[in-house]
Amino acid sequence: MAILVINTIVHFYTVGHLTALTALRQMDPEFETVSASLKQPFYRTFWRVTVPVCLPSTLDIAIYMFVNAMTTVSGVVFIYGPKTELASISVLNMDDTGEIASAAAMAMMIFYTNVAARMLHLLLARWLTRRTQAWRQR
Amino acid sequence: MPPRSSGPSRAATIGSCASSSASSGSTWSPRSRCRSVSCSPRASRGRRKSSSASPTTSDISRPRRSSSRSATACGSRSSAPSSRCRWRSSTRTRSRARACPFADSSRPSRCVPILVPSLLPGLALVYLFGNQGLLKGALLGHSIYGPIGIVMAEVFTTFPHALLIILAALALADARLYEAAVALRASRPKIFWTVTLPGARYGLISATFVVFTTVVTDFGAPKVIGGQYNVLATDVLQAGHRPAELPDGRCRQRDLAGARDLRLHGRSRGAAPAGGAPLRARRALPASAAAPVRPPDAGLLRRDGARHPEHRRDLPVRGRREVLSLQPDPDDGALRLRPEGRRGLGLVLQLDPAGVPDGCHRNRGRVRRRLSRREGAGLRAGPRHLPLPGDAPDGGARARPRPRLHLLLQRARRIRSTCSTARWRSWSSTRSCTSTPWGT
Repeated sequence: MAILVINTIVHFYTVGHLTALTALRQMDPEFETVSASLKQPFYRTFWRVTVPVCLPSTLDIAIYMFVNAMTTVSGVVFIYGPKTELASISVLNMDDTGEIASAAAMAMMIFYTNVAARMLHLLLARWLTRRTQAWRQR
Repeated sequence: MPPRSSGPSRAATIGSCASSSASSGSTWSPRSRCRSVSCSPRASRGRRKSSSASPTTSDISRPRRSSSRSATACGSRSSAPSSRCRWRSSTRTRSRARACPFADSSRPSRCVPILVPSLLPGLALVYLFGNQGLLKGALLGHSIYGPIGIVMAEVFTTFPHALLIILAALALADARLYEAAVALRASRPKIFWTVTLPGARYGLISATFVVFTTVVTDFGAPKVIGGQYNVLATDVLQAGHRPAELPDGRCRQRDLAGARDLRLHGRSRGAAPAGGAPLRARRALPASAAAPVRPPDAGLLRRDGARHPEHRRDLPVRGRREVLSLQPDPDDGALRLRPEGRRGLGLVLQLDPAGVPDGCHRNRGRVRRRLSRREGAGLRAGPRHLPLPGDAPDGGARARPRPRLHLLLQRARRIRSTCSTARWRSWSSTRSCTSTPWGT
């Protein structure tokens, strides 16, 4: 199980890293100096400024990782176990054994799960954008 | 706003008449431009809006719209945060909103393939164009199992990735360049080659690389619909399934799907030794190493009425993490793939010396794989009824019977009640006869 998680995270780390880097670069570096001059600890700056500013990007990374972890076959087909068979792997196995209908149904279940996660992500993003991204509106 | 919406449409009809009467519409007609510009200030908008209306109405006034321009319009319409393109998007959507109110609502559906595993397009193509598919005739006799299917599935899978990148690239296109090109009376192909393509070249290059990487590393579509056509990813998987050696010399298969690696080579040494011998995958059958066939295995392979009760209930089973050994049966030369430590699951490779399946042959629908004559001739035939070549449907056109390898697959527990030979047969007819469900 742990190796599956590690493998998936490493597999899809690049896009998340780039997204987070872009989100961090668009921040004004003056925040740090201002907070230092106001004698605020760095974690307070992080929690009050950095996290809310980068929240949409964090959510995007989360949904990206989720969707790709649901749909990937490539990395985990070598390392899954009998008790940790992913849905996509089970699609593959069902197709191997000829149960194409079951495989298609399972693949559609993956799709529905992704759609549900996407909807949840949209709702959460809308709520959090209203909460934390009000400064973006002119 | 009725007067505004009717203004460009009227200009559109007039402009199309003018352009069609003037020329075939390949060059810019000054009349239509004059009309569109003249009618735009009536829209009670600012100076910016009126200048923006000229490409819009000119688009409509053209009877033939080049695809490059519409792609550019798409790109600019999808870029809401770009301030440069916002005015274009507003005018375009308003002019089209009356025609199709859900024009923009279809846009998320183009990105749906991101959310599905890449196996699903393959499965859908199997349903559509497979051997029993709905649109099988659309392929003009070609098989979907192969490069055609792989390409179709990969196009479906990678389309949203390329779309997002190219849309992002086209959204940054400068509308002033298009206006300048129009003012310089450049033709549509020239605008496409000199403005659109150079503006989007980084997007095109990155889209190319993304699609290439996705396709090369993709595993699902070639696995589902690749058939015998091996691509790099499936080869990697097969290499991963290559068995390691156990300490006692038997092969360790990762699972039953690894049975694809079994190649029965070196059969010319003679018959299978009595008592059986473990057969390593992709290796020759050792003639001397004898391994006893256990009594349950012998009972499983018995052909009379007292056979193993699970022998009938065949089911395509894919086990997991099985350690298999292949043992030939002393009686009839059947080879059994035996999972180690899990007695319930077994795979029987059965050699049918006569290539003619008679009607009452109980393994008739289960023929999964055929050996070539040279490979299979070494195994002995069992003491059983051999159908004559004259019983063949072709009347014995092939005089020599062809040896044939049957794969039987058994599972002791968790037998589904819906499983039957008819189901197997209907399933096996959907696949080509020369390929096993585990590949070859």
